[in-house]
Amino acid sequence: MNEVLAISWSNVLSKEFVGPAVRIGVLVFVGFPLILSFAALVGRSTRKRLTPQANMLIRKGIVYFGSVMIFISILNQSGYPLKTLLGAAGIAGIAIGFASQTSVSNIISGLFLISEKPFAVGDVIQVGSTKGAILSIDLLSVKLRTFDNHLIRLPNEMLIKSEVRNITRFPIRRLDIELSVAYKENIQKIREVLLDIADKEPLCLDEPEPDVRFQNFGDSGLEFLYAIWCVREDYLKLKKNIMQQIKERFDEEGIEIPFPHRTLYTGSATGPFPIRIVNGQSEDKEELRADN
Amino acid sequence: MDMELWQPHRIEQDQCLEAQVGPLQLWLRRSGDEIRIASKHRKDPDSRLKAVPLHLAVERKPAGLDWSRWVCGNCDQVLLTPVTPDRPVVVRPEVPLKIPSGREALFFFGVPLWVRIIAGETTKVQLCEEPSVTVSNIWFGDPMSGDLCYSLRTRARRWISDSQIEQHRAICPVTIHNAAPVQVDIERFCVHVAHLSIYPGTSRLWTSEVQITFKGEDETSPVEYSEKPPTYETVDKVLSKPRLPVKKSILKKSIGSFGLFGGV
Repeated sequence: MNEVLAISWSNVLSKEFVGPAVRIGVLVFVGFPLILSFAALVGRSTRKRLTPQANMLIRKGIVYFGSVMIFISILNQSGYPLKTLLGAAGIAGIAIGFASQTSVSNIISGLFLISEKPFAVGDVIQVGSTKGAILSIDLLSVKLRTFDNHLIRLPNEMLIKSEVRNITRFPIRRLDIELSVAYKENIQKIREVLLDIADKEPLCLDEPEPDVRFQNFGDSGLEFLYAIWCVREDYLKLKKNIMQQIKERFDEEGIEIPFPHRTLYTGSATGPFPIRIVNGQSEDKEELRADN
Repeated sequence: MDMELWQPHRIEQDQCLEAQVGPLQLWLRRSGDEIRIASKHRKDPDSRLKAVPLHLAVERKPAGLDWSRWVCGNCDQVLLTPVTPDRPVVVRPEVPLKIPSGREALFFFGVPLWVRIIAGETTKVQLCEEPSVTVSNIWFGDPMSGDLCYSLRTRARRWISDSQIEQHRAICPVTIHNAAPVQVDIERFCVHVAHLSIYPGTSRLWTSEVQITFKGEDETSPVEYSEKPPTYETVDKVLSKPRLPVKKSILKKSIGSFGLFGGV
C-alpha cells in the first residue's frame, strides 16, 4: 500500500507534471491579475481623452482578449491538442453564430453607437414613447432612467434601427404651445398679448425671438402656435410659468379660450332657428314630462 | 457721488437692516452666528432712481419675505459691494446704428449691477449676490455653441450727459471700430462684463472701457477690456475688481445678427 502511494506521489511530483502545473498556476494567479491591472491602467490613462463608452470598450476588450489567450495557454500547457480544439471551435462557432445572431448584432450596433456618438451618458433621449436619461451605454444595450424612476434597457440594435431624439444635446430648446382662441378675437391682439407675456418672463430668451404663428381655422377657434426659446435646464420651469401666465392674462384681457362648439343651421347660415308654436301642444308636453 | 451706499455698516444682535439699490430692496438680520438675508424687487417706476444706504429697518422681523440663512460666526459688520453681472451682456440698441467702413463710434450704456453682500470686519465672508434688476436671458451665437447672456435693451447713448443717473447701474463706455471693408449695422453687441472693474465717478458709477474692432461678419472681433479707469469723469479708485482677470485682447464674435432660428 505504502509502495503504491510512494509510486503515485513520485509520478505526481515528476518533472513532466510539476513544470506545466507551475506554469498553469502562474498563468491563473499572475496572468489574470496582470490583465485586470493592465486594463485598469489603460482605462485610467485614456479616461480624459476618450468618452466613457470607448474607455469601457477598450478595458473590456483587453480583459476578454487576455482571458482567451490565458485559456488557450492553459490548454496548451495541460497537453490538450489545440488543433482538435480549433477544429471543434470552428464547428461550434457556426452553431453559436446562428444561435447568437441577436447578441452579435447588438454588439456590432453598440460599436457603431460608440463611434457615431449620437448621445452620451447623462443625455435625455426619446425613443418612441420612452423618454429618459442615459445611465450607461454598454456593448449589448443602453440603459435609461425614466423620470418616474424606472430602468429601461434598450437593445443597441433597436437604437440603430429607430429614430432617437436627443433632447439635451444642444444648450437651448424651443417650447411649442398650441393655443386656440374664439373666432371673435382679434388676431393682432392675441399676437401682442403673447409676445408681451414672453417679454415679461425672464426665463424666456429674448433671442431667438418668440414667435406667434396663426396656424389654422380650427373646429372651435383660431389656432396658434406659440414658440418660445429657453435654456434646456429652464424648460419645465418656463412651461409651468408660461402656461399659468397665458391663462391669467387671457382672463384679464377677456380673451376666450374656446371649447368645442357645434352650430346647427337650418338651411340659412344667418337666419334664426324657426320655432312654430302649436296651440295646446306645448302644454301637453309639459304634462307628459311631469308624469315621467 | 454719494458713496454711503457702499460703506460698511455695523449690525448688532437681533438687529434688522434695510437698504435699497434701485428696484432691489434688501433686508439683513443678525441672529446668533447667522445673518439672514431677504430681498424683493420693487415694481414702481420711481424706485429705479432711488438708493438708500443700510439703515435700521422699521420692523425687526419683516413678514412675508423669503429669508435665506448664512452661518458666518461673529459677524458684526456688513458691506454691500457693486459687482458686474455674472454672465455676459448683449446690448441691443433700440434703434440700430450703422458705422461706415473705417469709422468708429463711442456708446454709453448702463450695466445693471449685482449687489454682493459681505459680512465680517477682519475676516470677510462673501454671503451672496443679488441682481439689482431682473434681466431677461438671451442667446448670443448659434444654437449649438453660443453663450447664455443677459439681454439689455438700451438707447446706447452717444453722449454721457444724455443718460440718467441710476445708482444700480454703472456706465460702460464702448468704442466700436469698423475695420471691415463694408458698413456694419450695430443691432447687438456682446460685452463680457466679468472683465470689467467698477469705479466711482463724481456723479455715477463707471466700468472700465471696452474697445471692439469689427473685422467682418464671419470674422471674430478682438475685444479689449481696459485696466485703466475711464476718463469721462474724475475717478477716485477701484470700487470693485473684475470677476475674471482682464486679458489684453479676447477674440470673440461680439457683433452679430443671427438668423439661424427659422423653420417650422
